[in-house]
Amino acid sequence: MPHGTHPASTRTTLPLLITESADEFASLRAELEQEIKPKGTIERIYLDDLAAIIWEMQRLRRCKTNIINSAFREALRKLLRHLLTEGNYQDQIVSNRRADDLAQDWFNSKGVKKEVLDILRQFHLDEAAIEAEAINQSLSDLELLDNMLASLRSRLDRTLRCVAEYRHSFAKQLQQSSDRLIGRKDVMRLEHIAEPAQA
Amino acid sequence: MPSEKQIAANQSNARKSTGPRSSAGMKRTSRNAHIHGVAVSLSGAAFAKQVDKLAQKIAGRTSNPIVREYARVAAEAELEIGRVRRMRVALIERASALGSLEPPKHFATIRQKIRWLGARGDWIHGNRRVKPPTPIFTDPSATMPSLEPQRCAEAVRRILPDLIKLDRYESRAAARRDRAIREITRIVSSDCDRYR
Repeated sequence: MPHGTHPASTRTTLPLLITESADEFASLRAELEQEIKPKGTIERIYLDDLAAIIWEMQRLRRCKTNIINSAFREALRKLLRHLLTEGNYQDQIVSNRRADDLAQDWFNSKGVKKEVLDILRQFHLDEAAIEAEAINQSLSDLELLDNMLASLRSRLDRTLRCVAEYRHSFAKQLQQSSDRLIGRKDVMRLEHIAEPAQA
Repeated sequence: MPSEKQIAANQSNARKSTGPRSSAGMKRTSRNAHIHGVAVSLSGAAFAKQVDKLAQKIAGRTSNPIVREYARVAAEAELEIGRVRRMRVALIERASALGSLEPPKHFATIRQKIRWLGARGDWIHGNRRVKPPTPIFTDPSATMPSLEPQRCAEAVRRILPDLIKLDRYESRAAARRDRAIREITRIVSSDCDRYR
């Protein structure tokens, strides 16, 4: 089977990034298939759509987290420079260098991490302040990602509504067809079969 | 429920939002579809064959020509959605590998380039004593994180405006497909009612 394809899928290839797992996508699709139990091509199209939308939403959420994580070091540097501000210009240069070194070693050294947390505590702050600064720095990108997520969310809702509408309409058609068949004059009725036996 | 006043305000605002007005703006937006290549309708025998195959699956055994036409619209839109999704992945992969969708440049803007060329000309003709510094070649891939998943996230971050445009194209194609499917079910239902 080609990368990310499904035998019952209406699309020949399902686009995945090189770093994404085709098995994970297949398992997501299988779960949805189990849930929706699609019948016919149209329902399968909607199933593929739902799987792709959910996958894309997961991808964007992962990106959001990673964008914030990537901004963490720069946020810490900026925050420490702010907290270690000195009145004297010469002292400021030294404290800026110290802030940069602390931010650089935050991820590698437990001692540095403790030192930074102590500095933050002096100002009644904690790690949340670094995260807030990282989010603040990435706000314009996060806003765009949120817009995309909101658009995907509304498409997900619309697709689910489409499936429900389609099923409702299909059930109505089936009922009408069966009513028509039952109501036909040429359909052999039970009483007609029973009559000769009574005679 | 919006009030009548709100509806009137929305309509008045919508009338104002008719896209770019300046000739430069109109020229720029007119090239949007060419840059992404998404709005260009697909042609060719292979694509037509794919559309026919999917349209036949959607329409089923019906002989109603209107249903067949709507099935075709739905099939075209569905294939377009697939194409947009492939494009999205390709763009993210490219940005992840090269750091940008644009080729690397020596100057951030044309104005910088002109200024540098002018300074260099002055220096060559002896009107300037100091040689202007050689522009540094900025390779966008150099600033990409080396590890996944940070690299992929950075790639997505760098091409967000392009991804948003693709998202809009995809939503429009999905809306077209859904409308066509709704019409198919409506027609088939009314056919059933007629035979009752």
